[in-house]
Amino acid sequence: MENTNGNVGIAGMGFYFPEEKVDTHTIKEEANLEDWIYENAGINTIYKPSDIDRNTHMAYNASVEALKDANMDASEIDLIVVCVFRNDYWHWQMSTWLKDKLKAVNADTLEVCGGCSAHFFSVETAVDQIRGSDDINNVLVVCSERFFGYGWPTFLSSGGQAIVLKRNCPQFRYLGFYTSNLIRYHENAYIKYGGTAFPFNEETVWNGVGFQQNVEVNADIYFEHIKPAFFDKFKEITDKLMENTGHNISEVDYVVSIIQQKKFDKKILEAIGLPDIPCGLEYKAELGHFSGADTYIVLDKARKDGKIKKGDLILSFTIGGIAWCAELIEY
Amino acid sequence: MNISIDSAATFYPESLISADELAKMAGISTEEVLKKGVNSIHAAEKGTLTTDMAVKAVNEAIGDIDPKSIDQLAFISEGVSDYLYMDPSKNILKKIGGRIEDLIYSSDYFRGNNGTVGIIRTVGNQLRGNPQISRSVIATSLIWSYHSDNRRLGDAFLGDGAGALMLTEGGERNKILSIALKSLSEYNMISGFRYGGTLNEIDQEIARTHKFIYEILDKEHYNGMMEHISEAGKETADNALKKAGLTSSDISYIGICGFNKKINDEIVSDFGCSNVIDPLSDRGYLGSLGVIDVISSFVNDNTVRSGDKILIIAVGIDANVEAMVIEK
Repeated sequence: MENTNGNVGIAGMGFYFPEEKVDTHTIKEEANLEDWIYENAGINTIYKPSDIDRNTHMAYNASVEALKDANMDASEIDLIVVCVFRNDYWHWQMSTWLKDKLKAVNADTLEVCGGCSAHFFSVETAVDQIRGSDDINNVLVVCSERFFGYGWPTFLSSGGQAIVLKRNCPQFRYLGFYTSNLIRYHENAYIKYGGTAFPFNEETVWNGVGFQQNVEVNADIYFEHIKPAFFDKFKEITDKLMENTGHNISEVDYVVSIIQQKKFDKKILEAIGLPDIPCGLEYKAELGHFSGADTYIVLDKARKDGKIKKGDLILSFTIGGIAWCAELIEY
Repeated sequence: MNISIDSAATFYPESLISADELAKMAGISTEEVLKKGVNSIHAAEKGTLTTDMAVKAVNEAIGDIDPKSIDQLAFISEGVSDYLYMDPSKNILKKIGGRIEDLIYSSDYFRGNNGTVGIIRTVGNQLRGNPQISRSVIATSLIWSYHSDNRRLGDAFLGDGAGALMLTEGGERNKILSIALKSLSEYNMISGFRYGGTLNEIDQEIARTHKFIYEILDKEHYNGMMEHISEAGKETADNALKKAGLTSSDISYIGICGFNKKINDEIVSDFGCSNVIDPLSDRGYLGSLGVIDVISSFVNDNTVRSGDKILIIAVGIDANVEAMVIEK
């Protein structure tokens, strides 16, 4: 198959964090979390959204920062890809709103639906758009979630994340992507009411406000089928990614992964055979989990603190639902 | 773009809602419904799952192809699926016997109720640019009885149905010659679900009082779109022709995917083509299914000759305006 041009890199990254940071001890007490659960999470502070911190507000501000970092005008953007699990409105195109607000007059728009792994797929889709076309050169990928509090297995933060992908950009070049799924066990978590299977009616029982308290989890599926394979899957996708890109695991200089509980990174690194590799762990306790774009927050901090150098190979992991995802990036 | 449509299929539930019944549901006269160009729509029976309808269309589109050879199932997430939090693309893959382990692309894309051509372009670029994707299926499935105001969305009457396209790179049949997209992005608050996002959360009262529906979010944005939609449709169609290196005299068929007869006719009349494929009368406004319906009608009609070209124009209750040219 013909690739028009395989070189796509990250020209800029931008982030928005709400002003208020909250000590997770206060949430532990309010939610009556057991000590061992709290310790397992390993998160000290998270970002709390104010009334002004709507998904749109956070996405816009992150996008402005990303364009600045890329030294790019919004008119140079050919495509805006938005990945948000729940936006200001349900089934509404924030990408169109962003196009208008940023004055990205030449941009087409696309939304990718889903959870954390959907952000990974947004990035891969964006890279494919550049590689597979002659007229898409710059893509803005945006995420902004309005989360706050404890959401198993960690604490959740609100914020916006944006990256600008550019054809022939020499920095943070994407060398490859790989995903492994267990779609067989896809029904391990879902919201029962509100779809066409069990539509809302006059007798619907809905817990609290919002989605979180209405997610039904099939613990049996998780413990019997997903947990036993959980960290092996990271080894599997790493091996495949290395094979596809012609690299060896020993060449990897840095690892980033989405922010989960305290021992998450250690277990991944042990599974892939790099127990001592730097992985941005020092940043995570003061961030919490935002979305699938956590990896880019950590990558940006590592870049700014000089923890990575030009030429370094970075292995990035995301897990969302029953999809394990890895990308290999060269700084 | 050397992407071809290997096959296209649609599925419509048997049950129909007539113009009379639509008028009663909407509290307007039958004449008003007919004036908008709708004689009837298809409606799914109670208990039908979104993904089950999608599976019917996908199975017909893939025919004898081994479902495990499909590298990507791209579902257009316009409507509401079986559950609020379970990716429909994955459910469909399971149900058709597709790959459910290891590497498989299950994508849930969204471009409002008028974004199918843009998603065809997205998938086309993935076929060209991603060595791990050689065969893609795009599917959509819409059931509006539970999530609409009596099937009204602004000027439109929403019909149910499902559709699927199978795409590969380099095929000889049904080649996509061009795609043109336009966004009236200043009208970015036209449609969506007011409840269920983070601005207006769902609680028990919202769940019990039929407020979780697809609706017009801002009337001014809707009116603004209505003022410009015909012109935008014509402009986008012209653009598609130009990109294909064609003029309207090269076109044998026009497909119009729209929501209102007057607007549809205004757009089509600009191109002087007498072979018009327009599903509005018998199916209502089909949203993301409209383009698939028109493609299916074109590629599956044996009276359409090899080499014939269709200009497809799509306008919706949406800021997106789209057009494409396909050669049989």
